[in-house]
Amino acid sequence: MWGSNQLEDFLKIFALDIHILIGYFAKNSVFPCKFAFQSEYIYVKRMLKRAEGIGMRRAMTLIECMVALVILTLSASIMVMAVQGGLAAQEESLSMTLAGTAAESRIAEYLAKSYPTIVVADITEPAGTIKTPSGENFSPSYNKMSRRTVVTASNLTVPDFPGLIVQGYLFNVTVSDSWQGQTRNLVSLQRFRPWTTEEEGAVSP
Amino acid sequence: MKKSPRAFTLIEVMIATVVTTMVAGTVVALIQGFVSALTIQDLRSEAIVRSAGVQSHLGLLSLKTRMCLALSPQRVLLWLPAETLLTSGSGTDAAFDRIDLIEDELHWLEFVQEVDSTWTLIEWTVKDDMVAANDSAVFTVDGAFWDDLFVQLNDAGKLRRSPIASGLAAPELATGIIKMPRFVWQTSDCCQNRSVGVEFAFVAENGNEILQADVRLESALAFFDRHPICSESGS
Repeated sequence: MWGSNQLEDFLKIFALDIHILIGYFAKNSVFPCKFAFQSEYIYVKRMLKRAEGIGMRRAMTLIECMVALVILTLSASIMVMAVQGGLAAQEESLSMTLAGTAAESRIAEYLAKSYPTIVVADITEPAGTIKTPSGENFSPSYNKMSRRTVVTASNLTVPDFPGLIVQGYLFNVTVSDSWQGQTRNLVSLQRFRPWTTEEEGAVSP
Repeated sequence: MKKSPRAFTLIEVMIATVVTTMVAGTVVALIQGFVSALTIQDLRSEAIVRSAGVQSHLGLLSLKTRMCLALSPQRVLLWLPAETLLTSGSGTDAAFDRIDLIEDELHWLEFVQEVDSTWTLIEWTVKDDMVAANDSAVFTVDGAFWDDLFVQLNDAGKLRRSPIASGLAAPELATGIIKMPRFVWQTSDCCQNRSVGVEFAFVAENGNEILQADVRLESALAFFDRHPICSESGS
């Protein structure tokens, strides 16, 4: 059977291991983690000092162990929350990136069309039904996204050139998804397509 | 005489062991959770950063491209004329009909499969120091001609390989998983086609779970230029 000194040494080493582990993960983490790590460090150091007091090698009490465990749990919880927060933010970033490509695809489709074939429109594609210009469905990565395309006839005016009016179409594409029961706009793109002389088809480059 | 320390009882050691095991188990689960979360974060970061890189590259090329000269699922050829619209005139200019190899007018984009089965999107351009100043090709919309030229130049080591994105995989489409990444376009008729795009995926393994993010990027040719030869060829 282990003596109390051996078990105490083992517990000390284990506490230090845990302390080093927390330090490793807290190193590049957010401020609350570092704070929790410092608290745990001070507490463990104080315990070790007390245990190694002059002429006395006292074991840790149950309360001390419980307090250490509570601090450990709190530190771990804060770190988990930080990682979960990072994951959620990154998932949103990826959704916005994909939404951007879905919106850009629609804009490219309208820019690639022959000008005379463009008509004023307000088209909404529900989630899971957004299509590529060739009529195929987008991949399952886009399944949660819906897309609205509004095409309006519009004139572009240039402030520095009074009287200059460029005829064309304005495309508004909004891609959204559903988040916590609410519709969330991920990306909204706007592009103007001017009418040019080449559009008549009679003029070579 | 110094009093010898009292030994722990069996119950005390067992309780300590149980508590230690529980804490160790929690820590292991925590580490596994972290590793899993980091894997997912890696995949998402890669998807975001590489997609943005490909999109910006494709956007820049499509801005300069006047026509696609050859279209196939794994390789497209973009024509970026060295002549400006002003100097190209009405299209009757002989310089406009000739594609100078030394002038960096041809850009092939190709999906190439690597040894580890992943795909790399590569841009091939002609090495200006490997071709003669008068090396040129006559303008044509015959895709087979450009494929032959690609093979000839590549075999002769006259093409510069510039990877745009690596570690890509086949995207999962609604119709099923296609076997490879691919290029997409508005119409296969080069004389009418005004857009070019790519479809690919990022894949990572997380234990038994496979994480996949499919991406479709598309870009319109902002300054599409229907070459007069298209009218002559009836396209």
